[in-house]
Amino acid sequence: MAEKEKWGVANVYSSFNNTIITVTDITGAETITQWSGGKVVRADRQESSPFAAMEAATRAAEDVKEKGIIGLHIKVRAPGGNGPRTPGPGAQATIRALARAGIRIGKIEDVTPIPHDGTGRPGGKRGRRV
Amino acid sequence: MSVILITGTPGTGKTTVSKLLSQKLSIPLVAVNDLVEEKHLYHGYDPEKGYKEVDMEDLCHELETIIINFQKDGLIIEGHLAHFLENSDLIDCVVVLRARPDILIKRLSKRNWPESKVNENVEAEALDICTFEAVENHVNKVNEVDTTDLEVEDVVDLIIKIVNGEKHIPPGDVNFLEYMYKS
Ligand SMILES: Nc1ncnc2c1ncn2[C@@H]1O[C@H](COP(=O)(O)OP(=O)(O)O)[C@@H](O)[C@H]1O
Ligand SMILES: [Mg+2]
Repeated sequence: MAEKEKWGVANVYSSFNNTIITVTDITGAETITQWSGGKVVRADRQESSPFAAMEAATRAAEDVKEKGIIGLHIKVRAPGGNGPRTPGPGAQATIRALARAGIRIGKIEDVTPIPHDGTGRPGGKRGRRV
Repeated sequence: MSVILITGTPGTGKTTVSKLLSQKLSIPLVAVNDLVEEKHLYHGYDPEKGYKEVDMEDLCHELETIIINFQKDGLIIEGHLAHFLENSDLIDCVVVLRARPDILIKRLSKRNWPESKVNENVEAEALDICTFEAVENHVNKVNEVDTTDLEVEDVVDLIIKIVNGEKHIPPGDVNFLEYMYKS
């Protein structure tokens, strides 16, 4: 039974203004569903709210369950949400909402891009938590 | 005179804009990338991504020293790591240059970088990474300038207004995340 359990990957992109969640199959090749905070709330100013992110995640969870997927590995790309000064709680809200919708949460990876040309700051050493 | 940090994702126009700004304001310009080379402010190399890993503490220290020496004349510090200077008391304003991802991808494609490097920078731009980091350190001193529909001259004139206190463009109006949608 266990080997029949289908898993997917949820890519969570969270910026100053919005959160997007893109769910793919386990290989990343096929997009299963895509929702954004902007798509589920009316006012522009609410796009970035944790509420919008949660709402987007809940919709994504419904689509995912319909496809028979029971769990999601998470890849987070989100610069903010770590300090009191910046917005961007979207990523955490998204993951919590997925779990609350009955999706099993697998591996959570922080794959936030690092701007770089010939130089850059060291990667993966910021002690970030998601 | 003012101490100005110009930051933004590679390709957003920092070097071009800062050179002209430096001429127009007649104040010296420090390019962080040149400083890193000159003073060996790196402690490693990321072979996968092909960049020198900057020692952020050394860089901060070096920038602080330069600012303290040049404060009186004013100073422009440009580079995508400029905003990592932590001591906000030493500076007057931060300008984060932004460029729409579809424009940025065209500019970065001319650099002969691997596709993965171009893409990581474009993603960083879509996710407002530099803006976030700048705000973490410098809160109300941060201005965000969307250069997408501006000429270099216009960007420079806008920055001069910001420096003179005639204008303040707080972060948050730029919204490029839709470029993360897979079609
Ligand atoms: N406002 C602008 N409009 C059009 N092209 C620009 C503008 N700013 C910069 N560019 C062009 O973009 C390219 C990258 O600019 P550059 O100053 O090297 O960016 P950075 O220093 O941020 O990496 C250059 O070819 C430059 O001429
Ligand atoms: Mg440059």
